Amino acid sequence: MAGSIDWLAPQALQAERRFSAGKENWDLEPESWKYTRIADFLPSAPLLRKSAEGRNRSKELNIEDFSCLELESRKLAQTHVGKARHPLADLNLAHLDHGLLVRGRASTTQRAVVDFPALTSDLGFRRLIVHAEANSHIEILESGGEAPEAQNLVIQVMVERGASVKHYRCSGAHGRAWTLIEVEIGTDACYELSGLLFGAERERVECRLHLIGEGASLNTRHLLLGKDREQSDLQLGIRHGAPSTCSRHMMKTLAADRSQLTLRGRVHIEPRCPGSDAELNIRNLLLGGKSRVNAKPELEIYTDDVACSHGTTYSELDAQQLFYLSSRGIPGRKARELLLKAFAQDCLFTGDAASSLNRPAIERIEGMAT
Amino acid sequence: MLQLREVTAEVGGTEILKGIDLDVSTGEVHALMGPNGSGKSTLANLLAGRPGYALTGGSIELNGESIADLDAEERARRGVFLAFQYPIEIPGVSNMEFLKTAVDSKRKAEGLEALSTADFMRTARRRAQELELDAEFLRRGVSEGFSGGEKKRNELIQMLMLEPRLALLDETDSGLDIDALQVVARAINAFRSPERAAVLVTHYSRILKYVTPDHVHVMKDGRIVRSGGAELAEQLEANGYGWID
Repeated sequence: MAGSIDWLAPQALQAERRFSAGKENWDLEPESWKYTRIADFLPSAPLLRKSAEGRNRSKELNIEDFSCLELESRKLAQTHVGKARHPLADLNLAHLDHGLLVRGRASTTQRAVVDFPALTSDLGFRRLIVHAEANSHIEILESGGEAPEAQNLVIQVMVERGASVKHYRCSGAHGRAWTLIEVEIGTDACYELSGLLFGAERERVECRLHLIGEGASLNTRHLLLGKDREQSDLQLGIRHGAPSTCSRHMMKTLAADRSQLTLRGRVHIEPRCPGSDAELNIRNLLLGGKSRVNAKPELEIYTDDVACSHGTTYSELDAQQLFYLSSRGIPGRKARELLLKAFAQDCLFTGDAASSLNRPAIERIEGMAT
Repeated sequence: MLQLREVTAEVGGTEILKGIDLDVSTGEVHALMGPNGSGKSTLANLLAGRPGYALTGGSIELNGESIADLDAEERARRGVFLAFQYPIEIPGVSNMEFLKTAVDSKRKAEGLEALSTADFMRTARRRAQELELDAEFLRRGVSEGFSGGEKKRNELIQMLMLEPRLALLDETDSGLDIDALQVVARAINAFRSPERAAVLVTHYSRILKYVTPDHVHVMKDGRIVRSGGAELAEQLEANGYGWID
């Protein structure tokens, strides 16, 4: 059953066919799904076709809604939606509820606050396409808004020559959420991704980040905050596909109670990409004896003359630092709060607009200090 | 103010303090001297309530009440302050945030309102100036990237801001050049008052040229083996520790 956006119907039909071909035909890497079951993100019952009713136009002037795209924008969206190859992305396209297009016209600067409208159903299929034309600059603030109980979200970003995109996302999920973020970064272009993941019963974010133009740069920061029995899984796949590309990645976890957090960062340097420079760091702070973190950094290098490094640490709150704070009369809870915030600080959003999205994460951290 | 009787203590299962008696009254400055490994720092850390420093015998009273079973936070609330020999670095927590939190916690415990940010900043900047530290230090992470001397002066900013009743200064003079030593000594003298007391743990008598102690004690092998006035420090400077049994 194809999605409800008419002009996407042919592509939705193809996607549905690919998805319906069955698990045996899905190209899923076993290592990537070692700690998370794909079944957690599949519908539990057959899906019915939804009507277009209830969809709202975005209130943001610089965000175009799929339900009312001009022809030129439709064509642009169509070229993007077909690129995402993943069984769950096929499911997304086949049943798309809501799509948004953020387009940065050449040599312009804009900020887009992405807030998907609430759905009447418990299961939401959403897609966000960001296209930064040459030398444009876009700041995306993605608050998560009112996420449905189960969400399937695909984000596709194209950053053309000399353009830059700063992307801040606070997932906002609370039930089960799967997100695919596919990014292509062109010559001398820059993409920065900052993500806060917490609050979902089961959440998985898959990032496929491809530096395709010479001199492209990429910077990602992620903070995962786990408590109770939450399970979050962040898969970061970085592909350096051009010479003199640079990427920096910081992934941090705060794991409490019986939460389970999974991180996988994989940097792949393709052949004939000299001057590539990649750094991947994973820092884990375990707060509860029953919490669990599975972290795996990987480097795969097929070019000489590159600089690549990775590091992973696991730790608990530093007893000496705690004593130092308490020796100044700072109560234990406040001392732990200071240290947890200090740990998380470089992954929190900066800037006036983006930092307003930090509040839920900061409240979560304060709660974890008890 | 502080009264120790037959204090014995161990660290990591090893007995370090083997029977300490000490009386510190308000308004006094005591110098605790002795060779390496004599137990000076152990005593300072024990009094501050550092985890792992276990009191195995005797009594520790502050203003007539035992503090032996209190944790570090509660001792701090009662006015005990330890200037660390090796101040801890806490990257990501700014000095300003840390100090404001500490001062607010103290005021709250005393039933006072928190200082306004403006008042706090004014006082903190003045204290930094007194210790010849640039106000920029207040914005940096706690002791993060500070030189040894800057760390020691940063400890004294905290002491002056928190206004404890009993300051334990664990080798605050070590690693300081002569100018920094004088700055630190000025801060200690500024701290002196009839309501407060200080215990200076030190190897050397050079700081005592600038801070005149009321009492000097020499520790050896976990015990105070000699006590006297300021002149004892001069004797130690001239003759070392070898002559004391």
